[in-house]
Amino acid sequence: MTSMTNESKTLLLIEDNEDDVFLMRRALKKAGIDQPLQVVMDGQEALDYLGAAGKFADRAQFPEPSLVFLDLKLPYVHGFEVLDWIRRQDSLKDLPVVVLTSSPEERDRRRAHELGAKAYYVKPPSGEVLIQAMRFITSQPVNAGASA
Amino acid sequence: MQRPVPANALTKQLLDLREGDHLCLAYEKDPVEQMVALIPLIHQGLKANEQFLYIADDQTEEKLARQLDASGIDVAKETAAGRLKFLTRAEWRRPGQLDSRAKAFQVGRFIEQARAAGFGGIRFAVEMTWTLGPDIDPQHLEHWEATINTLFSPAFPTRIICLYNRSRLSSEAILAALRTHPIAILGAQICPNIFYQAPLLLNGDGHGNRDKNGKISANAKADWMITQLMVAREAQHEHSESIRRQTVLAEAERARAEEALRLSEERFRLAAHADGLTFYEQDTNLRYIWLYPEHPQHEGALGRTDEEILSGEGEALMSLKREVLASGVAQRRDVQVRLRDGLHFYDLFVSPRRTAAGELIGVAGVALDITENRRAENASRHLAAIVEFSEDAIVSKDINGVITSWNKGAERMFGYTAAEVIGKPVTILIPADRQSEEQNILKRIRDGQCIEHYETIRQRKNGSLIEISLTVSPIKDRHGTIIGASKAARDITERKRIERQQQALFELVSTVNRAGALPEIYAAALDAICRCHGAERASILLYDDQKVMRFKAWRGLSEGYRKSVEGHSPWTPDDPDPQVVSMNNIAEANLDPQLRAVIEAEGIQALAFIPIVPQGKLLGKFMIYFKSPQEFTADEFRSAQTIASQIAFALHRQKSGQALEQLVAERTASLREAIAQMEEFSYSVSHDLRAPVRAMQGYATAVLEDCGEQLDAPGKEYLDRIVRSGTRMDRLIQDILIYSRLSRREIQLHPVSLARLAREIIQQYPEMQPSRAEIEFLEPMHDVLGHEASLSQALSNLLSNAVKFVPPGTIPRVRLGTEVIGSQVRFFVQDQGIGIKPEHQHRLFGLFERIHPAAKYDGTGIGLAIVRKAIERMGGKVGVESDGIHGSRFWFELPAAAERK
Repeated sequence: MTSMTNESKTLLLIEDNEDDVFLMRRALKKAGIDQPLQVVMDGQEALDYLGAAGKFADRAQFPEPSLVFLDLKLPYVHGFEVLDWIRRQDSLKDLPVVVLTSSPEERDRRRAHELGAKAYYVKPPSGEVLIQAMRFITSQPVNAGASA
Repeated sequence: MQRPVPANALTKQLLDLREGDHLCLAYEKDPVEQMVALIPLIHQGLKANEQFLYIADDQTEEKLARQLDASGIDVAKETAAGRLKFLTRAEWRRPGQLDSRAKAFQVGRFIEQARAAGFGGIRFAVEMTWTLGPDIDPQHLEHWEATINTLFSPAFPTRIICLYNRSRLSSEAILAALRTHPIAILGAQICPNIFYQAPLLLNGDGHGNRDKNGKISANAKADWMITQLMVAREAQHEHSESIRRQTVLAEAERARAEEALRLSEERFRLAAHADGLTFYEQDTNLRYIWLYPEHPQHEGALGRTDEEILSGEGEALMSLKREVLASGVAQRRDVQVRLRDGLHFYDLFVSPRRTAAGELIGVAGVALDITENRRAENASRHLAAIVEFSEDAIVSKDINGVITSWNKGAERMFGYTAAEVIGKPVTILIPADRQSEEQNILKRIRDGQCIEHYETIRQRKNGSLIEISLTVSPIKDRHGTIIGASKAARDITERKRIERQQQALFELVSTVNRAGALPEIYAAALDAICRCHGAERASILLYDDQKVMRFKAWRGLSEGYRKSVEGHSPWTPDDPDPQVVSMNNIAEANLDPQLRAVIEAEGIQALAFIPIVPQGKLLGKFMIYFKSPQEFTADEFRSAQTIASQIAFALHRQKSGQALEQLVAERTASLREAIAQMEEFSYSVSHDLRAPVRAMQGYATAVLEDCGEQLDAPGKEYLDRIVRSGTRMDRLIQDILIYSRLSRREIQLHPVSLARLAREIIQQYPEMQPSRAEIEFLEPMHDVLGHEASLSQALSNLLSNAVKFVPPGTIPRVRLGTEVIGSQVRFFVQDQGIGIKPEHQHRLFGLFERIHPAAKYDGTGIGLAIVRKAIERMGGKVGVESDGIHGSRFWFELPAAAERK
């Protein structure tokens, strides 16, 4: 059912651990979520992708995501910095971001919410949790022309 | 009662005439007889510095003079002074008719001369018989005598005493005299003359009050008489009024009056005794013929001599009286007489007694017992000596604050001599800003109060101020009336100086003890040193790293001066025992001339160096500067040394304080670093350590799920074990994190409702839901003081355990409740689980301890360690009660929260 309403919406996973990327793909698949998944492996790539900069300039190849799964402990640019940057972009202010981390720390959870994360999940995410996350995707495309 | 207003000039004249101004002394034969009456008037006049003119017979003049001498008047001296003057007939009266006008002019001139000579009045004694001659025309005499009555003026006291010899004058002349003198002297008594007629009535006023026959008109006479009657009526009215009043009061008053009379007689008698007065008369053999008052001592004295009465001790009295008998001159002398009760002193007055003819018939006089006075005099002389030589200033002043006495102490203290200040207001000693004090002091003195030890400030003659302690007490006369005050002033300048020193030191010590900053302590020290030594300037210098003394704090020193003298020191830095150095006079001190010039240019004439030596190590010095040369001994700098030691103490403490602070700062920094590293480690553990575990589980699960058909039973079992191990490892890591986080978490205690917290926890755990466990709350449950997050951790661990450790297949039944134990609240979790045998209970709360086999009961062995850590961090304690069969009762205790009203 989720797949029906959000068929053409790309998901972006920002995750540096290849194991976690593999397990995430598998978990999504098991949960029946079949939207296209784009993966970037560090914080800087995340900013480039979201800003359609550098090698991610081509939106046809790298479409604007409808939902972001964000790890916190990332090389180059920390997950919170990425979150903060997203919140400061007018074009991205409605982009739902879900934090997916191995830290159960309360302060991280609080910080994430302060920076506008829609949800905070501790790895590994269960299938139910992922389906729940899909509900954050808005029915309208997020700022279709924002990159222009 | 109001007197009627005088009706006319006649009355006025009558009333203006003062009693005694014109007296008539009538005698029978010898004028000398009348001296008894005359002498008191002469005495009185001379004493009041009035001139006395005696117009007397040339032949009797010498006799009169002797008589006056005998009565105690120094005739030679008084005559030389012009006060007493004998006038002859030639000087007094021109031959021929008695001309009233010329005579009045002459008397007027005498009066004028007396006034011009500075006398306070004039008295005349006129031997009329002799000056007039026996054949005087009574008409002329009357006119003259009446005229005299118009000569008196109230401005200059004048008295005229006219002596009349009855045997030598005609009755008409005597009648004229009686009509014209308002006052008569009869014998030795003065009385109003009821036959007196006003001059206006006799002589007229020259303005037509005479009738056509030249007599005084009947109208004028009637006027005068009616006025007289009015005066008399008034007097009589007053008299009868008073009689009426007396009659009314008489009965009530009589008894009292009689008693009063009796008392007053008794008092009079006692008074005479008390005053020690004895009046006496003796004959030529010095036998007493009269003594007053009657006294037991005088019993049997009459008819005996002093010698006989005092059995051999009366010689002193006798010899003086014999002298008077021999010389005929009165004497007064103090004599000593030994009586039965000891030595007595008498002020003895002995006067010769003579007959009218001048024949010596004995002595008379007064003896005054002055024994008490003598003693009092001696005592007061003794006191006077004490006062005179007292160190304190002792001053007396009258009720208006005018200085009346001034002792040597006062001269020393205030710098004025007695001659300079006696008669001056005492306010000359009071500084301008304290003048009002004197009014308050005088007011209190007038109220009869004493002022004791009043500390104030007075001014010396040279204007400098002096601090004194004042004691003022009223001086009373013998009737108890306050007539002045005596003041004793003590110089308390020195005591005040010491008090100020102590106060300054006290303030400094307080500042040091308050652990004020060094600049504050330096300022207090400078203040203290200036106050202690009366200096205006001071400074503190300390060695710097190069062992050069540098100014740290100063008062009243110019920058140029500080630069020039900095580095100079009377001691070397390693001096083992530096001493105080004082230069009492820079001009004479042994100094480098250049340095001396610098010091003198700064206006410094004396200075002192006080070493600051804490624990034998010279740190610096304390300098005191004076603008005038001093006379110090090193001993006088004790308080300065105290101040120096206070600074040394403060410096020492500052140094140790700094060292301690640095140590604390270093330790704190390294601790912070350790904590930061720990945080970093924890963070890595939670993120990175768990990632591979997660991956292992993930892949194992994936293999099971995706390739399950290709595996046989043992293969699946092995993968299953990998997954379980991974789960367990993840739990362990999480529990260790929780445990370590508890240790370093900063906690604050607040009231927490355990009931609410427990309910919230139960909701979060599926295994605690009513379908799977029975959890009962034993209400009411008391609140505790705790940290909610830590409490939540502890509570959830206890509840998990309670529902976990039950025999398989049974529904766990748990009861929660609280008990109040003193100020603590004990929370307990009672389960019906498998229990813990007492021998295992001591291990229960240790880290990684497990009592039950892991195979049967899942757990990391950290849960109860977390409970203990959490509760202990909140200041509480934990425990368990169990017999190992019937379940367990886990509890913790925390302070009770204040009951909410």
